[in-house]
Amino acid sequence: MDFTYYYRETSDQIVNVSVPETSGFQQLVTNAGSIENKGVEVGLNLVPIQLNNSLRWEIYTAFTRNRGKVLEIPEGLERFNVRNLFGGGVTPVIEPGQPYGILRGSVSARDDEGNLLIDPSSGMLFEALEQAKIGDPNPDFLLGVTNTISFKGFTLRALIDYRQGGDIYTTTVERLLGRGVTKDTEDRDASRIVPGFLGDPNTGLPLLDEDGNKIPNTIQVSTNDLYFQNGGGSFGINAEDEWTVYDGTTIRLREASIGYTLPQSTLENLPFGRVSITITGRNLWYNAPNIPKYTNFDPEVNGFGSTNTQGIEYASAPTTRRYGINLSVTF
Amino acid sequence: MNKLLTIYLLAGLFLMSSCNEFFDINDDPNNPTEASVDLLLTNTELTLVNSLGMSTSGLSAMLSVYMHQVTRRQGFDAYNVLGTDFPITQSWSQFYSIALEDMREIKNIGTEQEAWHYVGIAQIMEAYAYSQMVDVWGNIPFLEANTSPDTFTPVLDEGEGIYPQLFTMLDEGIANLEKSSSLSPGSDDLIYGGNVNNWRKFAKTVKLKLYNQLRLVQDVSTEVNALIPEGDLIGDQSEDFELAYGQTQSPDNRNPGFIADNLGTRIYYISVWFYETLTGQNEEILDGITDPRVPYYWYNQLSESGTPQSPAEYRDGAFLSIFFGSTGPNQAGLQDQSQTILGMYPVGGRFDDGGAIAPTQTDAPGDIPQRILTHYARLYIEAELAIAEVTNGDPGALLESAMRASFAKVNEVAANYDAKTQDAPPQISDEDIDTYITAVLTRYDAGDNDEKLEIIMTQKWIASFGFAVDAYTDYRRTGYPLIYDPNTDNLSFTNASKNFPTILPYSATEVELNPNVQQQNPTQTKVFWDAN
Repeated sequence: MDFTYYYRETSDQIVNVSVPETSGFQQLVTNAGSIENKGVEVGLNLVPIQLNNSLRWEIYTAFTRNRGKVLEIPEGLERFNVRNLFGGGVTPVIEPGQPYGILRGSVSARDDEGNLLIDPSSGMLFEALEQAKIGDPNPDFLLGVTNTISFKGFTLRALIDYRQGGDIYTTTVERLLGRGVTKDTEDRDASRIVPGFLGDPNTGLPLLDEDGNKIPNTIQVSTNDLYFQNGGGSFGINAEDEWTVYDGTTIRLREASIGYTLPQSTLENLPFGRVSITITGRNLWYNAPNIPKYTNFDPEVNGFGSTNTQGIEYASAPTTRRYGINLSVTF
Repeated sequence: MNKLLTIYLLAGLFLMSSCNEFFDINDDPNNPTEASVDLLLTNTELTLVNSLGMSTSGLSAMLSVYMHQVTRRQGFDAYNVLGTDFPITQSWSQFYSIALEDMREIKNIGTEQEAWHYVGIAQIMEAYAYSQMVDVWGNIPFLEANTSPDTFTPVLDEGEGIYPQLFTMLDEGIANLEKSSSLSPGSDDLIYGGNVNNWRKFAKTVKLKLYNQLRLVQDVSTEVNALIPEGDLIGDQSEDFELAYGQTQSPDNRNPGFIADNLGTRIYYISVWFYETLTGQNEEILDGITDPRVPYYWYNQLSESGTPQSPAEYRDGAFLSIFFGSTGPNQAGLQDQSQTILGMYPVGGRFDDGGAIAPTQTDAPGDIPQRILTHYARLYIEAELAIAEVTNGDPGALLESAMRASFAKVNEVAANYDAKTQDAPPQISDEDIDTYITAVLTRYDAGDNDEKLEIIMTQKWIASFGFAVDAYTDYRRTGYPLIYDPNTDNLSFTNASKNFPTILPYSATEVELNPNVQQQNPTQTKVFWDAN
């Protein structure tokens, strides 16, 4: 068993700091800031079964948990962008007290108790004046379990990955729900009522009845309108950014393989030293319970690849499933 | 002897290595660190004009929707203006991080090199840019703006306090134009070709415009009555402040409004309200008066009997469009080859000769200038000042000359129009102009003072087609022209749940990054001169 605990503080890195444009510039390259990362890594190897007839079952478990926190950024700034995206849309930012690269974007208007406010003329949401934090792409922890069962010349191996948390902003899901092409929103003509209280889109404050109480929303809207609005306020196309962020928890059969190595006895009359054949499959199955089921969206897709920008996906190509056959012969 | 030679050789080697910059790889000749004023000026002018005009990133792209000259199927339809809207984030960025920053640089370098004409032009453009920014955003970063590295997070200054400093800036600019200058602009000046007299007249016309905008909150009669008799304002349309574009596709130097609307996706529909006003069908404005400028303003891709690609939301003869604030079933149908599009006068699109084709980029030149501050606008300002009794001028006569100047501008554009695949457009005849002007002036003469003001502002709005920032300001000051109200038009599918925005929200990018800027509510805040 391996166990690692680490704590690392990094400071005065060279960074591109996005500065307010009223300074005359968009970016300042400087040495600045500090960030801490702490976490644990555990590796555990178990062999529950090992028999004389060569049956062996081995389980290797790897657990990783990292907690990052931005401690300090250049003086005077509240936050800055990891990357400037499309002018004011969802943006990954660096903000003191928060993990690295949290997502900020537009949110729906709410009252002071956090209830959604509803536009009385449409029965839909409307946008709040200021943007807010809408997600954290960093997972809570990662777990990988490799099972290996071998018997005589056969080897069966399976790697199961589990990721807890880690938000993703995904326009793929937004479009699928908005256009109504998946079963998630199949009953497009049914009426729904968005839970919340009526609000005034001009002031952003809740409307009150004659007794001074907030008025619960009772306006029916069709499911179609719920996911596609021209003027914003939906949960799909033209939604505020917060509704396009999903929890990326996933369990995945990362890799499975079955292999067979010919016994030495059969090779005696052949010119080969060793012969083995393996059938492998990668990314065979996954389940992301908090993503709308029929979109089959894989939260591992990332629009910006292995960069500092994580948790944002703009209709990228889906992940692939691969099969392979491996024949290995030595002389 | 040998020894001496060795010393010479060694000395030579040292000298060579110290003079030779061959290995100086830290200097990138493709990215100069110092600019010259002439190179800066061109880009400054282009950026300033594009952030105000009909380019997708220009303020008119949004404000001409709110002034009901065009309609767009975008988030900011139905007055749903947000700090994330493209024209807002982009124009904010272009103003501060390109135009104003370049002007600061021109002023610095120009002062050092005693290139006073450049300094003067930069000051005049800076004052104009700030005036437009105060007019749409109210309180903005001013004193601390563009002062990096001293500060990267400028605070907001009150619009009311900025305005007087703009007059000072304009006066200093005018004074610098009078000085002898080590360098003078020529073809690098895309607007006036280096003509400093025109720059002076522009500066004074900006002063007149700003005094007029102040008239509801401040007595400006002394200043105005000193300025007009000088006779040093934009005097005819050759002195208009406008930026001419080219016809080149690569690099693309065509009018950005033309690029947005006449190629590929068409983003602008013509407002039904504007259409019905100009065709004499709007019961509330100029009812029964047909405007001869119609075929110059927009182009019908359909013939009267043509079948549109999708069911039409609004169709009148060859004209096809959608309503403002619409949630109707046909609002979103694909109409790119059927809808009526921006024509010759606003962006250099095709003149409507009734040919009913779907123009491609080779069917129209796209080089018509983006108008910003024109001779006709100056005359409308004077007419407004006269009807408000700030001056003793004859408002009716000024209105007539303003309307004549408006028609002359359309005819100028028609005369310069490169007709490509169609016959050259005719001039609007004097007879048609007289008929129209007589009809308008008859209404004018019959109206009370308020109705007279309405007619002046309405004519200014019609003439401004293609540049909507001033119309937006005029509407908020005077309440005219009357604009479309989607909530009272008896159509069940048009609606605006928000009120008319009396101010624009700040760029969301600025609010996110600058702790000194809090977002403002567009329906709950006003610019200081907005006394209504």
